[in-house]
Amino acid sequence: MESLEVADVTKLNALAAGTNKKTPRIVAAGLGGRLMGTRDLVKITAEQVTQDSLESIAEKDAREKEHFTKNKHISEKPWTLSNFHQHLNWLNMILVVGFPAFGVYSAITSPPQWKTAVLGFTLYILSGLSITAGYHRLYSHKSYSAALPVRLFFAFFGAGSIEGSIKWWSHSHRIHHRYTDTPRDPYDARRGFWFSHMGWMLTKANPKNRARADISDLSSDWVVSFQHRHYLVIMLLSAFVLPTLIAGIFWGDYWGGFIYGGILKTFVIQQATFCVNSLAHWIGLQPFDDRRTPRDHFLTAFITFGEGYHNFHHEFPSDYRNALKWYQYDPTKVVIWALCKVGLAWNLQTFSQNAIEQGLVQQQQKKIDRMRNKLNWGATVDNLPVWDRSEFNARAKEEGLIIISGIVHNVKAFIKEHPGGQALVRASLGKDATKAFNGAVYAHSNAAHNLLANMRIAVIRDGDINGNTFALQQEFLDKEKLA
Amino acid sequence: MAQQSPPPLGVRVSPPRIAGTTHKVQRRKVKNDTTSSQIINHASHLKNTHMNEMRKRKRDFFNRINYGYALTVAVIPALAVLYLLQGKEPIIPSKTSTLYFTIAYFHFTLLSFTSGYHRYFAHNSFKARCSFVQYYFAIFGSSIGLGSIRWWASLHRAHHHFTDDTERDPYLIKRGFIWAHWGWLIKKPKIVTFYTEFMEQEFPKKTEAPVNEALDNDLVYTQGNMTRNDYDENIQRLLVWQEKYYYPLHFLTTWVIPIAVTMMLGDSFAHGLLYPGVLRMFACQQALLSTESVCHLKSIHVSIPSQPFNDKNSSQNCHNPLVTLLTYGQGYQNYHHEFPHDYRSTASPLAFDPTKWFIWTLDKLGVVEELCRTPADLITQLRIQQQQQVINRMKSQLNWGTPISKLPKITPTDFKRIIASSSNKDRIYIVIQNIIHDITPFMDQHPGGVPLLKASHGKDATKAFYGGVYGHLTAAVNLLATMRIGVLDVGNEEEVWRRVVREEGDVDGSSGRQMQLYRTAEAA
Repeated sequence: MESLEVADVTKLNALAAGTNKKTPRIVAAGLGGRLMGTRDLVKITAEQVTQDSLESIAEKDAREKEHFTKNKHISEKPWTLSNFHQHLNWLNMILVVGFPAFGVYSAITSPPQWKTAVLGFTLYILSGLSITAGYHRLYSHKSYSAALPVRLFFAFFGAGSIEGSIKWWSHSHRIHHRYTDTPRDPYDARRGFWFSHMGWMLTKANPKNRARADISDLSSDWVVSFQHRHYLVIMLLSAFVLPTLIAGIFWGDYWGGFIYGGILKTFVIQQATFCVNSLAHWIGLQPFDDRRTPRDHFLTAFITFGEGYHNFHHEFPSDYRNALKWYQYDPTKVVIWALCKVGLAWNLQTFSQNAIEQGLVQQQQKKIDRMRNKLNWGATVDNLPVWDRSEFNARAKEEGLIIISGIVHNVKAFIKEHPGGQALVRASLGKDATKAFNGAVYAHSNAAHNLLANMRIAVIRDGDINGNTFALQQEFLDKEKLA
Repeated sequence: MAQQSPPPLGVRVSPPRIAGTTHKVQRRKVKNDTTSSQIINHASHLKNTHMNEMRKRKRDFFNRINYGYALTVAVIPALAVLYLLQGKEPIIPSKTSTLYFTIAYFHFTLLSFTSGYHRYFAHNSFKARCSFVQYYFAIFGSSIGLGSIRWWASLHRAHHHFTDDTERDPYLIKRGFIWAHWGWLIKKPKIVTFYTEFMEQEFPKKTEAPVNEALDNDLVYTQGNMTRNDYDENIQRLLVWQEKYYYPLHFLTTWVIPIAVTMMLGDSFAHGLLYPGVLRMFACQQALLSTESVCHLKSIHVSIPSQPFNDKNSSQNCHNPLVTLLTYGQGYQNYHHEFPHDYRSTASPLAFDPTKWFIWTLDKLGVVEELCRTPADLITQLRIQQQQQVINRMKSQLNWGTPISKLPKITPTDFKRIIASSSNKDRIYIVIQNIIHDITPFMDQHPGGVPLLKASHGKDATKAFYGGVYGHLTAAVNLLATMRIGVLDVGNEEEVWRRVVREEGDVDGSSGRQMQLYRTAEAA
């Protein structure tokens, strides 16, 4: 029989990592390249990726261990007083911890003018939405298409939140989605809250956890390439120069504009974004799938412009929504929807309601099954001994037995607790009470059926009058055969 | 307690009930094959009987009012409310001592009703050790004006046995809110004989010889020095006595005692009559009546899963704190209907439930014993079964993809021909686990991008799908199933059929043995 060609996993991985093409620059050159400290992390070929994913984890670990015994990377050495400075990524330390600390200090010493505060808040919203609606949902997940002005807006204000260029951000985000909860995940949530929050960018990463994702679609967008090439200039303009100038020229508050509109705004947005990586894998419910760490929580959503419904997002990444219910907080969704209505965005991607509800139902089923296994549901009918009617008759009166649906139940201990009164049970002792139980006297509830199942002790051979029809038939057939 | 062989209730009762309808139908059938004049005669006859019935109903109107209840439930409270509306008296008594007495008396009488009439006499939730508790229940329970124990408790049992039964549920919510609230009290039930017999069966007036004498000796439980029979006879005597002297008792507890106490506290006769007497009675009645009306309304969706145990009847669990207050903590009707003889009205230890606290205290004082608690496992089991039903309902409404057994078989040669044909140029077919999937409609939504799909076009991508490139999880697998178009016939039948069994067995019999058991029980 002719067999089918099997898809070449290596080739597919090469596609997924984007290595089939002339390698586009993912990390900005020079200072920008070191900005997030990940230049080492993307040097990998498709062959390596494939090999790794196909080999067993233990085997791979052994090999890597052998490779790194002689020449351990700094991230594998223990932290000591003498080498902690080598562990840290000092540039990021200054950008993410140093500057904000300075900003907070200045803010405490000089309270803002209310105009400056409003400016800072406005810029916070603009830059934050650029990250969520632009960097995340538009560029990383391609969940819709947008007009040029919108893309320019996202590129400019997104740069102002100092989280790297679109290309870099989307690349690591795609890696995160592809390798969630594995060592390749840059913000691996299994390594603890602080690692996934800030630790991953403050320490030097282990190059053995390299990964790549295909971003060829982003490279073809000139806005993305332009932003990537001139990232430093755009970032400085958007993050610091713009708020300083606005506050300075219009109401003479140069310093306040710099502190509140620049540093503090950046700080808040950075922390919010980090929260998606840490908090959203940490608190909340898992209504769609509990095999991975992402979780849904209102609090995370509130901080991050609606990115907090992370369990849904990881199941249905290219959906432009993150929240489905009307009461869930997702302003980013509303913004994208409004852009669509205005005509600046189109091609909004949604997963079918069917698939979404399937996920919900399956997860609920899983939960119920887990609960079900903890409970005692009575002996299974297969495991019960088989009694003859005579045996039942002999023991029924003294042991308090009743037949219901062909099964002998010991109700002695229950007689007193029977809600319908003792008399009814007493009257049926030693008898077949199937009809009375199932409705002739009282149609018992599910609870009663469950309770009854716990009292099973045996199966009766001819439970009903018609119960022995089969045996008789068999006998008859046997006789016929003999004849 | 009834001491009879399993009483064929339905059988015994049905003849008078069904007689009217069946009779009519039969006569119609007989007349069907006769001539036209006879048909006209018959029609006019039907019309006449109908008219006569209407006239009779008009004449019967006054006969069908239950004057006792109409007085205690409607007329007297209405008069009191009208009197208050005139504005001469405040709603809350102006004298503090009267106020305190009213509140105390409210709780005192309402507790005697909820724990006595309801939990003790109607549901047997516990056993009384001292007869004075029974007398307290019997005497002060009558101050609510909802009838004698025999009458109320047997109707209540009927309500539990025949919930939502069009004929036999005394407070049938399908007849409307007003009926379930007041109507059933004010109007006499149509099937009085049925209820009388039911009452006689549940709370017999006459003693009968116990049926299982031998068994009783074996399973005897002693009540101090009394045997079980003495105990039952005591209750029976009490119930008959209470029914006989119901009106005097009612008069005593609703009128004499409150007025006397109020006057002793230094307030006027009228205030004693109004506040601890009639208005207190009115408030108690509303608390009790609203459990049967408000908590059975389907439209009251005040809580998130309002029917966590059974959604086949109208009883609702009302988690709304207002309803809970209004019903004196008895708003968890769905729980109560499933576990009627639990002395609590819900399993949650934090719920507002004064009756539970009261009975618990009596138990600790040693006055009552054998409180009936539903085991927690049983509650969880039922909850699980109900959730399973809801999930099954949801499952059946979703598209889970064509079952594998219904897919056409396609050989690899045919498959290649299909791919090669020019009409399928832009489509993408991917084989995963020997099943052919048409990915075309989903192409643009694929989170990993289109190039990956295009590269796997016409190939077996099982490895890549399940981890080689990306480990697809639940949602992706579900989506994939909806895109099935055929089974690749590579001669490996066994594997395919094993999968069929696993999957389709999974889809409909997911709950397994339990559901099977349940199904057989329902069928029987």
